[in-house]
Amino acid sequence: MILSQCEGEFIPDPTDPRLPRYSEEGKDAAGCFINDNLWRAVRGVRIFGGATRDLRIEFIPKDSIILLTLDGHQRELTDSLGIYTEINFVIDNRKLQFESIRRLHRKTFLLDGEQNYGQLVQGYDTVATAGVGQLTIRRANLGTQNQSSINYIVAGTFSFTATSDSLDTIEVKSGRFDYSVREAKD
Amino acid sequence: MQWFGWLATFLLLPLVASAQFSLYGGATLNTVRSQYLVGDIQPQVGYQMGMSGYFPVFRNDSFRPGLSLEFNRKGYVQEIDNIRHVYRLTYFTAYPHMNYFMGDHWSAAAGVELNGLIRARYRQGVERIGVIENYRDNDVGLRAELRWQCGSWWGIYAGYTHGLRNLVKYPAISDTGDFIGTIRDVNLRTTYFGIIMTFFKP
Repeated sequence: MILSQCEGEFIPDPTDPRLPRYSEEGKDAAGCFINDNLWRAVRGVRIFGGATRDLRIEFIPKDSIILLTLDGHQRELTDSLGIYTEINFVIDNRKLQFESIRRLHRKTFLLDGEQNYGQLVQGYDTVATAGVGQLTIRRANLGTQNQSSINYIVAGTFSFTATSDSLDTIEVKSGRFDYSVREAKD
Repeated sequence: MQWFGWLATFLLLPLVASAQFSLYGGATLNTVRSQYLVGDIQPQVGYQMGMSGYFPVFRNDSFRPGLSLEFNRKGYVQEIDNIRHVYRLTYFTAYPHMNYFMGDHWSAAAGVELNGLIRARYRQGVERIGVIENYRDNDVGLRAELRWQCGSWWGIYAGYTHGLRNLVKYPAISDTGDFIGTIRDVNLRTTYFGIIMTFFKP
């Protein structure tokens, strides 16, 4: 499938306009700084219509983890795109036993770098992992509902400090995201 | 409703009939002040145009309350890492004020400016983001101005508006992803000058 890229609606943060304003309305926006470089979500649009999801949340029963992935690009504002980078959060679900998006509502996950951690992925390479910090899901509940699908609004904030392969420290800060996501049963 | 009709007929209509009305317009120089804004804040040129009414309600004719209704194009630039973030904010402004007429030429006014946001446009470097919704909403400020009447119908004016508060709060996020809290201290400061034309005198 051929993909082209365009951005979703961008509303600047009133204090730092490089980042999207924090919202809990399903604006399909995310942003943060990775070592003071801007990272912003870019929506993938299929050439024959339909959009890929920039936020994926997977409950993996076998491994008992929740994997939350944000897609986006590290970029300069003068660049067209920049480097494609995924931000992943891996949450140990053995004690929590969460099985739906709704259970994430108003939950703060402390990232200890071992059982719960943040990581950065470029292509198939994990460029930094064992991220220590915090992920707060401030909203995870029903958005709109129609006959064919149920949409949830998932919004939150995050920051963590990870370590690269070359043992450099990578700081992810001022993170925020706000998405409308659809539940898939597979 | 009947009361309102009588009030309008016997109080407001004579007041309006005895009032002086002017049209005015000019340039503005705007900036903002906030402890939270990142980067270097630079002023932006805008414009204003509107209509004023001056109502002789006091026995002393030197003092007259007035009401101005105007369109205001304000804005500012936030420069971060050599990228200019340009805001263009269009307001509908109501400015109730008290006027003091000093002889034939000079008059001064002071009052409260109430700004209702109509539209916010935003450009980030070379990217034209366009209209943004709910960016900064209504705000309120103190305003004072000085006028000089050149002849019976023409004059010039200059003034200053000191923004007090953005009336709508918005959430701010810290580096660690925590809420700093809701803040609303992004205040516009405007210096302005222009030409005023009186088109109705009783």
